[in-house]
Amino acid sequence: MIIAEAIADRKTRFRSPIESNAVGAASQELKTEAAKDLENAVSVSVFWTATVLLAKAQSRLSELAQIGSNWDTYGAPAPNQAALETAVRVLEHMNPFDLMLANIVPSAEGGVGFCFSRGDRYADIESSNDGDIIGVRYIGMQTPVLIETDGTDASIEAALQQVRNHIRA
Amino acid sequence: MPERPERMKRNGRAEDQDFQAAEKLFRRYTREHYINGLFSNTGFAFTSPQSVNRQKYSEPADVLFSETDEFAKWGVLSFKCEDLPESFPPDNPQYRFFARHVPMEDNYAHSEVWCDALPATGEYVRPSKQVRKLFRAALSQRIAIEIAATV
Repeated sequence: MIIAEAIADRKTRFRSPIESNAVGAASQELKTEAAKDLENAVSVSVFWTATVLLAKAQSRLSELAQIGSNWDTYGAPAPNQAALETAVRVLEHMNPFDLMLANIVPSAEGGVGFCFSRGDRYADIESSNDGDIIGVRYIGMQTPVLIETDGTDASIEAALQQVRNHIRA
Repeated sequence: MPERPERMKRNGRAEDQDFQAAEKLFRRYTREHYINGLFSNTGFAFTSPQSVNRQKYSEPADVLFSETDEFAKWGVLSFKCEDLPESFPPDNPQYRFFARHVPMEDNYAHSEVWCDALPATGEYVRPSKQVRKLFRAALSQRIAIEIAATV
């Protein structure tokens, strides 16, 4: 949304005062090209990409804050305040690579899951309603391996590093 | 209004606790937990007995049946009874997972995935968070999609 607003603002500034005379077509073409260049520059900017991904992730957490209990029709609790606050902490440790691959979903046990998959590799980190953070990783049918944290920033960072190493390998 | 299939009605039938290893257990799901072709364990919970429908007395679509069609676009996944381990986790067995037939008047196939401690207590025992996480992951590795979700 931030990007869209920025682009719209720049487009407005590029508006030519001459719209219907001999140079109108050339002016229009120039304007279109300039707008395209701007959009391209913005879309490949690492900073903007990270900003957009983070905004999307925050927006997804806001959506999850709105869901009610029994969202899975099997009695699943909604993510509570503790889970959402912990999820925000997890989000703060994520880099653009993490944000690009993360699927943020409600957990049937109550909480928020950050899920990653690539090929037959899967990993997640779950922020639960009781405030804990726990994850798992596996490849195909291999035995799943726990990713544990003690809730500290260092352990969250270590857990995410495990996820990155697992998914990127 | 859709009519409930006759096979779903209990009609006085007794419980049947005979589950074969290859019998499938069905459950609804939505696409958000099906990520790039892998089902996420975050779509499972084992804090209490989990509802499923057993294959012996139902079709996969029965878990989507609703008079109001609310599950029209949901999907159905399955796993087999043999996917519920008799002892878990493998390196330090503490729990046993198994299916129990818990028929309802309007859904005879209704069953539950139960967990008991080793040795058995006869009650549902909630596994530790770590064991639940490992079991949820192991089960999610074994699911099959019976009906693909479109929502």
